[in-house]
Amino acid sequence: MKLLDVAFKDMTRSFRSAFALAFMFGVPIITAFIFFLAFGNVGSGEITLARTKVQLVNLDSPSVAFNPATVEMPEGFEGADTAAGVESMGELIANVLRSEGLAEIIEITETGDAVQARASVDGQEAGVAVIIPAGFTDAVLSSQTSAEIEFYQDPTLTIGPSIVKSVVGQLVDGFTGAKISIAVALEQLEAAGVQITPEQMQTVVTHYVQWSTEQSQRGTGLEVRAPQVPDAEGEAPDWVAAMIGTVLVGMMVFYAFYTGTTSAQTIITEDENGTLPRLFTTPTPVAAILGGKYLASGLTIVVQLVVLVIAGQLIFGIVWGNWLLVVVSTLLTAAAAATFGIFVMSFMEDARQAGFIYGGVVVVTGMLGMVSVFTAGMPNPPTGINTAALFVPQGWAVRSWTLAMNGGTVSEGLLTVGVLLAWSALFFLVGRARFNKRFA
Amino acid sequence: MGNGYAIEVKELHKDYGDVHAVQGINFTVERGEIFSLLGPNGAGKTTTISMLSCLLHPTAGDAWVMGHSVSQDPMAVKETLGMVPQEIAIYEDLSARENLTFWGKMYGLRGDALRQRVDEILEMIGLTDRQKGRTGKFSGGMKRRLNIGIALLHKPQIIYMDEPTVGIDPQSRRKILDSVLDLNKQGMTVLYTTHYMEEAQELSDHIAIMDHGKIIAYGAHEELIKIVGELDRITLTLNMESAGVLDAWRALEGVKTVSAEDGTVHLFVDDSNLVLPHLFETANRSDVRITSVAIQEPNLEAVFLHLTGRALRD
Repeated sequence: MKLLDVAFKDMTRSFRSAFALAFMFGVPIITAFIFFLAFGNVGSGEITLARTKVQLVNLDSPSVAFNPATVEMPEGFEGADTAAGVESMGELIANVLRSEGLAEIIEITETGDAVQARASVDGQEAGVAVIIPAGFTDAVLSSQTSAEIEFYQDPTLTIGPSIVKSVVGQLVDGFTGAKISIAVALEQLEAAGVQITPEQMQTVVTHYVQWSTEQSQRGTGLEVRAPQVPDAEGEAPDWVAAMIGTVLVGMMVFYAFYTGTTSAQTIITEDENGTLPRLFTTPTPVAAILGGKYLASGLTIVVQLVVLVIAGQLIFGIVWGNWLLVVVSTLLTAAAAATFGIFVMSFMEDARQAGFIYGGVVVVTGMLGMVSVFTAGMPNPPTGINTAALFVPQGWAVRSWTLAMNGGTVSEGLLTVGVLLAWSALFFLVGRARFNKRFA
Repeated sequence: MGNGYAIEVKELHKDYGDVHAVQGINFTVERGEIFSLLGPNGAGKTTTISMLSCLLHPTAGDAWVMGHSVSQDPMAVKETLGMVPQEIAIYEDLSARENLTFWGKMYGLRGDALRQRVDEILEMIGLTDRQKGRTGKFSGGMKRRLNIGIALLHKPQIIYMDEPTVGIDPQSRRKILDSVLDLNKQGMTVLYTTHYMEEAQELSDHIAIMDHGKIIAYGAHEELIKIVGELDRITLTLNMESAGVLDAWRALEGVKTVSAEDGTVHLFVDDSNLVLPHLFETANRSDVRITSVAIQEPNLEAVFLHLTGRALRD
């Protein structure tokens, strides 16, 4: 009973602190709201991005005549005039970049001079230059040679060049796949004593590119599951709400750990202010006093997360996915954050030291844990960067919430649940042992 | 153990590594009396009171509070005592009533009994009208009163007050001293620590003078005064240091002790009226001028000076 009294007292104090409330609720919601204003166009859900100026240099001229009739462009790239005038694979890429689907976000200027194109980027007249080398088609059709499309971008720009790079990369991936397929097919055909003509080879390549592009459009190949968030009509997925959901998850986890650490810091500050020693002079077991403080920390974070989840749904229309996993994520994030705070604070000598050190620990581990949030919008995040987040509990908490938002189930998240439980148990046992020793 | 005493302390030690904070002290406190631990800062008073309230484990020895051993039965000890710490220990973001309610629960009070007791304490400490205000906005005196009120919630048999008047204005100090006397009149045993000689002298039935972790004198006020006998204490300030003058004064008839400290000379003499003219005469012969003179009747300050050669407020 006294344990609950201590917990209630601590929670009352926490929720009376304007400073604590600001960091528990204000900052995460405001941060998500800033993203909402920046990308959400408040209410319409439409994207408002400046068009990226692209300098396109197509130097490709195949040694064998290219057959355009076999190419039909997949959904999303309609409008590219693929049926006529396409004489090379470089031209095929150019047509895709000229397509109506991309016209709202990129503005193509074509030139035959690669040096001039790079100069335009250097002079910030264009955001990116795409330079398709001579012999690109021949390189694709040959198993002996290779070629590179040069992607020259303004380093100060991110989103526009990333989109262009993603589109070109998708097509080049298709060509590369085709090249490998052709090499394998040729070996098989030669082994069977069959010879194919260059025209037949073109047909194989173009079919392969069309097929691979369609597969990635339809998501029937290797699937990357995105958050399922309905738009205002509740029909199609809303990527803005999904992105804000990802941001809010990052903020929730970061500030849950912040709350856990500041809550645990009250053990040190109460010790210095004399209220903790005074508590120890009352007929209340030390275990009930410290246990009450640990419980208050955990419950405060649960309240914080529940409020943020509800706010996220009501304000930003975030659909949190599997509710059972959301509940599990809430409890485990609270457990991990509260015990993390106890663990960190058990090493602090005094409040002054705690103020300096825990801020650094929370920020560094929090940032590392949110790597997957930062890289969510990157088309090609550096290999292994998301794995780095799993070295800290925040990374596992983000993973748990992300899985819930993506419609994952508790059984799919068993590893994450287990790891979060293990982190919590480890932090609690070490932190409790150190505090018990200090206050024995 | 305990032998009917409110507190019985036997060979109590507390060491912090090589530092011997308390070195084998012994004393007893009768039920219903006010007992003061008097000594300068760092004498070991707070360490002693911390061991008696089970905040610190003794390195050796033991103490019994209302018959309960602080080493063997700390929970029973805690139920008998109320602690008023040196620093104000309240939650400044809670109201006075919320503070008292929380601390009452920590002392095991619940329901109507708790509410009634909180009302009584608020009345007693004069904060009924301010009970809903956040204590962070209270004056220092109001916080001090609340600090004391918390210790009285469970009607303890003994109350420990660890230098409760440090750093407060004379008016608040007077109120606190009066409240200590009132509590004692109600039958409560009070263990009081202070480095103010006047407080110990006014309040206490018995006094233990502590210095460097040891009790150097122990008894009732009158008994302690007898240590310096009927000697008068003369305090002089000189315009220059002169070992020759001090030696000459030591040789004078009626002068018992002479000690010099920071330009001030303390003398214990049989009769200040007889000795004082000779002190001036000797100083004049050595071309030393006496710039101030103070004569005091025997008191605890004199006892401490007599026993340690230092002033109590060092």
